[in-house]
Amino acid sequence: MKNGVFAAINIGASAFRMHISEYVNGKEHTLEYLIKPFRLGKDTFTKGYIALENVYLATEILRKFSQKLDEYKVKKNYKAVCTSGVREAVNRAFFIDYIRQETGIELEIVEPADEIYIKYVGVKNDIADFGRCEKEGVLIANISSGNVALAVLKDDQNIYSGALPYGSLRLRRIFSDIPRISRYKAYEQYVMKMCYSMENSMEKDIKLKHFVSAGSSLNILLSILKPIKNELKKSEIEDLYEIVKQMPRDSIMTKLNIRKEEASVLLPTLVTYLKLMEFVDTDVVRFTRQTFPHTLSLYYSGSIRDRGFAHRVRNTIYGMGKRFNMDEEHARNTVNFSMKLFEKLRPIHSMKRRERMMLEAAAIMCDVGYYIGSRDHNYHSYYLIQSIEIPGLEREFVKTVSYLALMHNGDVDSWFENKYSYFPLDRQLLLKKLVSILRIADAMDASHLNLITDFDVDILQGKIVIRAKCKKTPFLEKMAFDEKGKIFKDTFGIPIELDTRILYD
Amino acid sequence: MSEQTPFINRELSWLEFNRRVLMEAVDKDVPLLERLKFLAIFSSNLDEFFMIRVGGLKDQKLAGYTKVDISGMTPKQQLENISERAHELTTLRQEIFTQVKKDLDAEGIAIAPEVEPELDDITDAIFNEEIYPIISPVTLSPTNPMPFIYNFRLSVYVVLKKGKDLFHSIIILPDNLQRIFRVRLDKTYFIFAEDVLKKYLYLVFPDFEIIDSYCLRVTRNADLTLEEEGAEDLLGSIKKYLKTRRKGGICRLEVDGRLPADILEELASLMGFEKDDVYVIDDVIDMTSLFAVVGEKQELCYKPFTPAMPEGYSESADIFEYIKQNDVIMHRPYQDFSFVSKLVEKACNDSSVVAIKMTIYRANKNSTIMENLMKAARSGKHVSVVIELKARFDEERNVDWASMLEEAGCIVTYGIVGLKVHSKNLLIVRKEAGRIVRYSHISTGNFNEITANIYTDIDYITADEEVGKDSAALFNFLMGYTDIASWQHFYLSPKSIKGKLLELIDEEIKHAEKDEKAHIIIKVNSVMEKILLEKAIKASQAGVKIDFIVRGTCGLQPGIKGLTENITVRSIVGRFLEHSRIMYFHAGGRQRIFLTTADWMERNMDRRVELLFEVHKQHAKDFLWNILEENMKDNQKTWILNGVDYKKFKSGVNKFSHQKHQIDQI
Repeated sequence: MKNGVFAAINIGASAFRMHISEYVNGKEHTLEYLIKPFRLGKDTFTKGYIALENVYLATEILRKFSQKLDEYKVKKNYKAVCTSGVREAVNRAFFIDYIRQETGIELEIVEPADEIYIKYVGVKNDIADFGRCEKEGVLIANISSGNVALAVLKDDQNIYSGALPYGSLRLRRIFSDIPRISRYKAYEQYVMKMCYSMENSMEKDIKLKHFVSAGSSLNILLSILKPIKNELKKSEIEDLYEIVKQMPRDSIMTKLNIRKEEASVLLPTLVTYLKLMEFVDTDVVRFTRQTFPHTLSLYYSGSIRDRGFAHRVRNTIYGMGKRFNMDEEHARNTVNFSMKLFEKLRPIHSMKRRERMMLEAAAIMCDVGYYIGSRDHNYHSYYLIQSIEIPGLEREFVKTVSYLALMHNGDVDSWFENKYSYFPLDRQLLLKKLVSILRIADAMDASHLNLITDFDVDILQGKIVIRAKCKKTPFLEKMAFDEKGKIFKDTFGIPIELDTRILYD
Repeated sequence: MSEQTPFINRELSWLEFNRRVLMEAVDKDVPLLERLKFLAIFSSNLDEFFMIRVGGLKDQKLAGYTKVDISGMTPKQQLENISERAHELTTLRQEIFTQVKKDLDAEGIAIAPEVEPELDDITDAIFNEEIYPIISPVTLSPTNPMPFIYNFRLSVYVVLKKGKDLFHSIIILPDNLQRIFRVRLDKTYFIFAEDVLKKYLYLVFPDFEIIDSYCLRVTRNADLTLEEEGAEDLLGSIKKYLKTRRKGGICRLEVDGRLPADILEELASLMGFEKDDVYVIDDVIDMTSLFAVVGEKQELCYKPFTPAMPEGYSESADIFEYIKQNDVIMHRPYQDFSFVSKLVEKACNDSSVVAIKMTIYRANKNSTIMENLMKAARSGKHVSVVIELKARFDEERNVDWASMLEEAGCIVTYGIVGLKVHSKNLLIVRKEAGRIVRYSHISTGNFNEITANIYTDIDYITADEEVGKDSAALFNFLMGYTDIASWQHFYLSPKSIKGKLLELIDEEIKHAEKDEKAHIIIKVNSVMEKILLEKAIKASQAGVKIDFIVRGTCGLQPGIKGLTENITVRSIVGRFLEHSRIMYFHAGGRQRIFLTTADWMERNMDRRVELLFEVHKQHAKDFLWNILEENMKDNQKTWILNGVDYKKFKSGVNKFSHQKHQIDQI
């Protein structure tokens, strides 16, 4: 981030927040932090839309935030994001448009995967020795009003991630009709369902060691328990839970000296914490005091980075491939070949690191469709990949990988001539470049026998020659190369040949 | 006043304060015209007291409210005591005025003289040109009932005769009528409009015989509670409120002593006042008018002085750099408030300034600060003003300021519904070498360039980053940008000042219980909050020495054995109105010193936004400590509370006046 002021706005389900930071020589320094409690999510979670009067009230708050943008002259240097309170409202488009018209603030909806990823990056940069936690197994939970965003990491792999509709305000709304004295039981059952859902999406017997929390719900616990260190003990939370689980809201307010809104969601918050601690089997939850808008500011201004991102994504994708019984050796061969081709062909393809990563992901995942069936396995790979969510990888990236998997096999031309002919030319070109390399790399281990051990690439006048060293004559590879390599010429305007040399027979 | 309780009734304590003000008018060390001014101040104070406090108590009495106050009195008992004391004070004022008038006459200044024949030409002109064209007498009859007399409006009641019949007429002096006419002949005469009118009544009622005429003035109840529904409605409510203020019930009638009892009785039934509400005045009614006289002769006034700029500051210096070098602390009026005006002016014209924010409680007419803010907004600067529309007696002016500021493009907000914003803050946000630097001004006094010359106050200006953060958060809170804020250096009413003070007193108690030194000095304007007072009693019982320096009302009797024997209460009343609020806590030798806008009153602790700020910089702590020490040392203008009575502490030897010393130091 270059020197200057940056503002981040978060339209949450229970409050609007704004964080204004100043960046000087790479250092962030908070100028202002604003909070306007406003239960936008109450409408969304009960009616499914934001009532017009609340659109107006939200506008008034954002008008004030807009004045702040004016004050610091950052009308072009801010990020304003909406989470579940707006994201799940059917009239979200109207809401966003109305706010833009009335206040000039451009709101964006942040997808659950992005939300958890940004929070993860915040936690990672704020908690010392988080690297160790990631290795040993950690559950990161962002318990907010609308959703509980969860991420499970172990051995540098993203084991699980998802934003589940179990936020404290949402729970409060769902069970508002249950008599107060037994409401806590309903919360317990419901939150246990969340834990099952998470457990079922993960490999069996994954052992976690750490629980790290973030999110707006944390502030309530901090104001009550006032921990000096950045951790809360299970026994403290349990004690608090026992005190309040059947207590009327007004008594909670008086006894704990908290606001009405906080008292309303305290019980579901405590239940969620306790159940997640049980899930991890830990007596301590660590946390970051960094607020979401603060993290947003740091993230969008580029002040915090996800170091090891590529490594983790690679591991995670391999992990997913394994869950689909992929031929790991073939996948590694395809990755190696495609990466080497990518590097060697740099003079002609002019693609960058991001595209390289797409190619690598596609090389790992393109055959996962065999898990469903060998016939049309590329289709199966395509939709399996479409369904995955990897924190930090934008949707567009995942989609591209799925297209590459789809096209790595079969008649590639027909895709561009028919189904995807509407793609803009630059997108078509990108896909063609990547799929050209992927198909060649895949062809070079068509037999899955690892016959080609290494190769070199010569870019000659009028053609490109891949000089491969083989263990045996790679009949299948040659055949596949001829078939799959056609698109290469159409894309780059130069034919490519495979010249194999046997080392021994 | 009850001697059984350690507490003193608020109203009676206030009347005691006003007595101290009145007694300045008999102090021979006070220049003659200044003594006259104290009579005017006393009168103006009393007017407000009747209108607000007595009015409020009357409402309570009429509503049948019988709950007792801190000292154990019901509203009815309070009113009885007030009436008794106020009558005494009114009589005392009369005696003092007679003497001051006589002394002034000897100096060639004649106030409300008998309208002598040599002035005839002039009074003729005054009557014909200034008075007659605008008066409208109402002769009372079944078809002409008693007209409504607005609050503080002077009237002349005339008894007329035609044939055998008597008639009664009332002339309400219009608001736009000049009250005092200055005539310079061999001496300077200050002729009052009512005296001229009375002289020429025969011209007003040509067909009648003038039997007699009497002046009267009513004070009405203005203690109306505002309905606060929302910021947008607030402006409208205030305007509505101002209209209703003129129509409260009568809580005082000041009347010429010659008015016959039967007429007074008749008036009581027509106008609705009680016997106790009648105050007989034998000379000038409404002595607030005497303010018009006080500047007449410079040699009869306090010697003027030029306030100093903060140490080391010169006109050519960069004011922002100067503040950055070291926090600036100033004591008004000995140090020049124009430093703050200049700071605002500079900020308004400085291209590096990103935003200017200010709270306004009382701003003066023609305020250069406000003019500069408007100018800055017009030139596109981000200017935000939190203006308190409910600042008593400044409501109309503040509504006008709010409209003008908005017109100029300032962001104007009206604080928080249900709470008066009494905190006085200025925040200047500046971009310096690509970085945001915030200049915070915290004061015990208003941004008022007129009262800055009369009130003592503390101004504290700093570029400290953490204080700047607190200031920014405060403005965000006041302007509705955030509902939840936390502060590192600020404590704010209504939530945290009282709690902090109780905590600080508790700390002193702990020290006292360990036989360690425990000392508190509280310099404020009023002390009446029961929880704090009870804590002070507890502290005294534990052995904490507490010195209260309270200009105005104090609800605690010091020196009661076993209860308040370690407490002293003193009050300084002098040339300047003591207004700075400073609190000192020994804190085991850490000597914590705070500035605050809050008095020890329930309203300040629970119904206002007030600020308590701990001063950390040693030079500023020394500065404030010196003020407290001088206050304690004063033996010329100090009144010491003993039981329920204040006694003037005027030493003949080692004379030391804090206010005079401050001037001498300039």
